[in-house]
Amino acid sequence: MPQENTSASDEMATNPVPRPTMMKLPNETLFHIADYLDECDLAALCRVNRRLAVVTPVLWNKLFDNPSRCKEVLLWAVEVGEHRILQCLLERGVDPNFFYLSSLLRSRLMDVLSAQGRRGMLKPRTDRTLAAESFRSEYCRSSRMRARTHLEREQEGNWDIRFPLERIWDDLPRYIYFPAFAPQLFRLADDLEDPRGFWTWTPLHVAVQRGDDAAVRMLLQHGADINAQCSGLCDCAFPDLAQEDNPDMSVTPSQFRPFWTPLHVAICSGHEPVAELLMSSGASERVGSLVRQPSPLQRKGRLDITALQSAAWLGSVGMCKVFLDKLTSGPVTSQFGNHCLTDRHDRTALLYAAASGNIQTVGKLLLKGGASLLSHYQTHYLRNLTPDQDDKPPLILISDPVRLLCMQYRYDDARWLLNHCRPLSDYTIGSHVLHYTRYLAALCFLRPRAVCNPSSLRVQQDRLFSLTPHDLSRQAREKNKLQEIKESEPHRLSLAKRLLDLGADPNRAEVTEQSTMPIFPPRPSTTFLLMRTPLQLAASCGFAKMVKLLVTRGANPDLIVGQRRAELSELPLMLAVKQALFPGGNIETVQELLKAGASLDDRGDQSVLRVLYNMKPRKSPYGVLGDDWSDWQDWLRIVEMFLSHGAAARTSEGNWQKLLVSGCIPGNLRYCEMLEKARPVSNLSPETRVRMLRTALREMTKRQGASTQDTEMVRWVLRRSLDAQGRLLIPTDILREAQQQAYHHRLNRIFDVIGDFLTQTEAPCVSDLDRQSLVSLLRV
Amino acid sequence: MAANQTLRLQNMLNPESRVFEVDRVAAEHSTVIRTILEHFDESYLAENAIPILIDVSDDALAKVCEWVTHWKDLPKAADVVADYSKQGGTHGTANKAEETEEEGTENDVIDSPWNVVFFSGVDAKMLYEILITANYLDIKPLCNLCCEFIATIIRDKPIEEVCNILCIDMEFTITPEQGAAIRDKIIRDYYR
Repeated sequence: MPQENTSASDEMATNPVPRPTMMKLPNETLFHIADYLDECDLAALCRVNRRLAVVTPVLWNKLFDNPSRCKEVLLWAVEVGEHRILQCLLERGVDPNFFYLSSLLRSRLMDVLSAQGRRGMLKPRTDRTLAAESFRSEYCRSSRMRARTHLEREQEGNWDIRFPLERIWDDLPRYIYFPAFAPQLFRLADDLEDPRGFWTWTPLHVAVQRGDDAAVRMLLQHGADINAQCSGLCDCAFPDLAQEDNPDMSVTPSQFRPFWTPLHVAICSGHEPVAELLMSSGASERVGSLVRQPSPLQRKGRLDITALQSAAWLGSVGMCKVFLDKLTSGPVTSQFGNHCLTDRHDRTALLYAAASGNIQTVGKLLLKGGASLLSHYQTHYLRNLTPDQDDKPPLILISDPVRLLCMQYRYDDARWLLNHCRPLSDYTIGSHVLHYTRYLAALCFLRPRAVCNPSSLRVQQDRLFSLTPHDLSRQAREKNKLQEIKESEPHRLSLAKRLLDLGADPNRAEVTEQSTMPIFPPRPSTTFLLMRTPLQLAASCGFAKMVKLLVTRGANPDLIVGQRRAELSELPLMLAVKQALFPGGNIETVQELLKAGASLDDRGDQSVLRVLYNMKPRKSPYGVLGDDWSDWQDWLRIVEMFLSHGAAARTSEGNWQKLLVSGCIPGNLRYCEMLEKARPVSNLSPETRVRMLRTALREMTKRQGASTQDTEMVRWVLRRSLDAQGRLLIPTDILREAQQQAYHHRLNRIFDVIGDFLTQTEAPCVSDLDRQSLVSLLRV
Repeated sequence: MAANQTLRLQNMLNPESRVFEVDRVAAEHSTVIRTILEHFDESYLAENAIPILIDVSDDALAKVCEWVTHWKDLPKAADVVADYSKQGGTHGTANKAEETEEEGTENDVIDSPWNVVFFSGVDAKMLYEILITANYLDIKPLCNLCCEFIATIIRDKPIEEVCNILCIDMEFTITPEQGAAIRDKIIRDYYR
């Protein structure tokens, strides 16, 4: 015993006795102490540390009696599930319709942060800041925002430009240090400091989010707005079905904010009983809206997306079943299960299911419930469409699920849907050919993949944060897109074969978005609709294999449709040439079309060769490039191809002469030689020869100083004005005049060339009248 | 039972603890001791000391004994307990209101200058030990007194000072600027 005692005392001596502190007091004693304290002292005590934060309920009890603070207590009661206090407050007449921020935000934020391993990191990483900065400066659309960015940068003199999320970052110490439900963390939306305050939701939203039936019922009984719109509690991004994979477009919480009603929150948190309760209490079947650049006053938008669409978008089969059952069992007026309802862009629930990749689960269910592939408006449009009318406005882009799946590169889903729908004859209007051709057109058009990830705003933001500034650059993204498009080609071909087997008509015109350069699509605002056949589309995208397939399946290579049907430049062949001359273009398409026997004849006064000449790549006036720059080489190759397929012989005499006159400008010697080889120029009239000379000289005088004097071209033109015996076919005066012009413009070498030529040749005899008219021709 | 009978108390966790002798009337402040008295023989109590199974120092125990002896004529908390049992375990705000009324009868005790003197030489450690002893023995008035004393210490003090006085370790460290900003915010929020 004594030994034990000594050892115990030794231990006491070596280890300092732990200091008795208030932390070790039992809860009831802490509450007892707290009872004696006032509100502000309690608030301070709550913040000392986590242990002492247990006295928070006492604080709430104190606030409970204060009419100006009882809203905060109401929120707390909803968040924690204190039904008794909630009931008591509501019976006292506290209005549950207010927006607020709460510690819920904190806990959620902390969860996200800890999941990402960023906890405790108070300053964002440098590369993320850089990414943010480059995003801001490069991609901010609104000039006001850009100006503000610059202003901020100037003022602060550093790179500390922050995102909304990062602003919270700066507040993080507050959230970490004071984990209590301290009222300070509640900021009622009425006195939001940040006008773009992102988190606005009502007690009802929180109750729904917790799946708290009783609280929801209580709040509804006491007049909570069942269609209140919140932002930020539910993290769902508003679906944008026409989106391309564009990281800079994905982070726009400050410009576009989705607002959701409690019913949507029930859907996305999967509380089916609560959803049913809300529906039976008269919730609107429209659950969400998108507000562009919201101001603090504008906290509501027009409700747009429906409950069924929302469920389909989130891919929850159970919730869809709930809604569809509502249609069959409920009163006739119930709209919840109505799959015909569309949003303002005329999109059905089935389309949403397709966009989010849930076509085989939710989509199947919807189809079983009688959903149609087309919306009412589209059906109406197609019914009123007559063959003569098809290029008159209004053109609409009929986007049904199969087409959307093709745009998203989900070919397996598209195939499944095709097989699934065929026996059901889901199209209420038109033959199958009509629709299959539309899909074919979508396949021919090599667009970048449309991305409709049902990911949350926060996920998208984090995606941006994980990118480096280099990833954000346009080139980096285009490279990936090109590769992706390339990889999709075999799938496109196989699906196109299937569609052609099913009876798609490759000669039918389809509405598409105008985009001559699929690789660099113009801004969405500048796209417009026009009619094109699948072959035109494939040619304009440089999709050689598809062109080959379509031609073998009976596509007419000379068919032009749409408003511009009189223009030769709309020929598939010319579209292919245009595409081939872009950087990264594909000459194979031109070869395929020529091999398929595309017509090279004139139409009216237009000639294929002249259209081709107009597509000649232009030299930059600043860079001095040789004859062998790649665009030029490509163009010459194409010209050679055309000529070898007999384009020269098919051109009319008038067009041929015009072509020669316009063609003999300096630097075009190889082109002119090719033309001459394809069709002899011996039988040209003197007027044409004079015009050729004029073109050569005029172009030379225009370019004086900018480029070298092309004596070879002038020699070639002069030689063409001789006949077989070496005599001049045009008056000597004209050459004298030309020589003078060259002298006047200080083109010394041209002057010499013409002088040499004059001494070597013999003048013809031409009447005075002709001579005068020819001289005047030169001067014009 | 004789009214002037003395009881012996001993801290069993501390073998070197001395034995305290308290008047039975005074000891009846403690609900725990009263229950013991009802259930044990007097002969047993005469032989053995009442064990106290809580790790407190002798000084604190002496303090408690001193308080109990001084206020031995005070009405005991037995009636209050009876009232509670009559109410049948209701709780909430209504309950609290009654509670304050009952405390009103003890106001003279709470406000007594003797208590001020009693607590004047007490440091944080001692205060804590008195509180847990009172809590352990369930001496309701003393408990209230201690709690209120602590509340007085906390009242109108900034967080750091409270921590210092009550020997609380702060889990987190804040820079002085942050602390100042937070205090300003609190003042703005609560004293507007």
